[in-house]
Amino acid sequence: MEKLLEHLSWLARVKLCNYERKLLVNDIAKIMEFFNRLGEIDVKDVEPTTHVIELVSVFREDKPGKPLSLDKALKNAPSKEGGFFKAPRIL
Amino acid sequence: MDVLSKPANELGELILSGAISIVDLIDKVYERIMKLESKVNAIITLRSRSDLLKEAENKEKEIKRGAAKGLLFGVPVAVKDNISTKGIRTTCGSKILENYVPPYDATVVKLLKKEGAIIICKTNMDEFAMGSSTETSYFGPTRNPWDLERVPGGSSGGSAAVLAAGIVPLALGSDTGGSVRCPAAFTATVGLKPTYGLVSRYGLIAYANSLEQIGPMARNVTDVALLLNVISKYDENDGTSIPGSRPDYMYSLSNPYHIKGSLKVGLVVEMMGEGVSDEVRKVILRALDKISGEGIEIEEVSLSSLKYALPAYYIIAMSEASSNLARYDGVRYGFRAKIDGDWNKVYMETRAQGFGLEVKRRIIMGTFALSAGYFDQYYLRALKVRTLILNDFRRAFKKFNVLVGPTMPILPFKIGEKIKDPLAMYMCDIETVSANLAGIPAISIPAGFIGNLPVGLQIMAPPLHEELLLKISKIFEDKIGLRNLIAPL
Repeated sequence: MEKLLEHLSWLARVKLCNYERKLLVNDIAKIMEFFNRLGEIDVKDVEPTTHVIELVSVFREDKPGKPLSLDKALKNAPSKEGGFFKAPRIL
Repeated sequence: MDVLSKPANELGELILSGAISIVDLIDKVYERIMKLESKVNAIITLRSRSDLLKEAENKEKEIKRGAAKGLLFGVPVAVKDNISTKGIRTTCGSKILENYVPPYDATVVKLLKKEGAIIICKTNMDEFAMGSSTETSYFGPTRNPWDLERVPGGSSGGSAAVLAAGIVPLALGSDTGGSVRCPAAFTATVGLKPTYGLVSRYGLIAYANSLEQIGPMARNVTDVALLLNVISKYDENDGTSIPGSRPDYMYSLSNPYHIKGSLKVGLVVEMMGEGVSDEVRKVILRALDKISGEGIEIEEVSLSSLKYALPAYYIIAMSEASSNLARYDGVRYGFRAKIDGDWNKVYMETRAQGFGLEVKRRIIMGTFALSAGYFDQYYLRALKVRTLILNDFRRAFKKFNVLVGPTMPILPFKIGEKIKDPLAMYMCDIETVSANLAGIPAISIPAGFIGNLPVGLQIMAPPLHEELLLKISKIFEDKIGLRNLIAPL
């Protein structure tokens, strides 16, 4: 279970501290058991539902709207430079 | 206090006729917040007194000029803090958005403004709407105005608390698995989760897109219909918005209902079974007793798939959450951890510091349900169970006009009582999640009290039958005789 949690924490890109790891290892086991209740029900030949309301794809006219100004788009960025978002290095 | 206890549908008329001054009204709202907020903690961001008074003065000038119009002209409204408000901080109850100020309004906020409403504050909520008690908020728990030791329900706990505390007559919440109905039940207020697609989600910060709807909250059914009139509209910015016009829900309330024969109400046996406290069961049965008769027949009905609604809901909601919350990378907006390092290191540390425990738990579990080797067993299976639940509702609605049950299986619980046991907290949603899975409208109205602790009655209707649902709710509200309740504080 510890190994699974470590793997999930990496996949989700959420670092966990020791205290959280201890709690979540325990929780995952319990929540999995709770999820496993679905194993009791027969779903053979049942189609999955992803959307409850049947809608056809909606297209709107391909007209340009009014975009946010550069200032407004960058206003909430924790780090920026020369009109760009500044991201951490990739490598 | 008197003007603050007025229903919104009366307040609007009194304002437009000049009987109530908007400046006085807003002043009283502000005073009441100053008096109660330290006890209740229902508000994350309160607009400044000077801003609010300036808006009130401008609105009074419009009245004098004869230019005032709108269904909510001058009416104070509270908005849950996961609904984007241009220029007003919108935190989602999270540290990761602590300083986020949206550059645009959610569609529902635009519609509120268009009808002349005055947005007073942004209300407290469980972090990213993940919780049933408002305890997971980064800004501390909201307290239930009926008993300050207890939770107001969640996740729209702040919105329910400002209503029950007599601060504002209208509030917006959002409902992914019961987040409007649960706090309405716990605070003796009224909350509606509309049909999926009726109200635009544009500008609602996403938790689980396929389940959630913004919903109106108030202290009576008529005000809920009024607020639904304002926010329910097709929106091209929401790909799941249902096209076409909407009925006038207020108009439909004022007309008698046209149903062949008697009104058939189905009491869902699965919603009265295991996990429901004796006290809640007693209050619900007593309320149904008051309702039945005079052309209203109540009969038990079984929807056997509902037994599996809760795990199916949590698998779907957590899976969608794990995908939705990937956007919090600390680059375009929100908090970023102050460390050096490459993308993965900064991203992981940002989320470690920015998210609370429940959010992390749900991201991790959602990642698990979607991961290779488990997808079919969990996520896909949950979607199939969703189909079975939909089919069960369709069958039941062939026989019954509406279905009823308790909104919450238990009474409002003490702060701290469940927060350490995630599964015990998830169990609180057992009555509410099925309406989200099926996309149907569902409302909670006050059913009664045990001591000073409120119990809510849940009523569910077929998709797009809000007119019928509200009309029936109004009839039930009349018969139960509980409306416009404000907690003694």
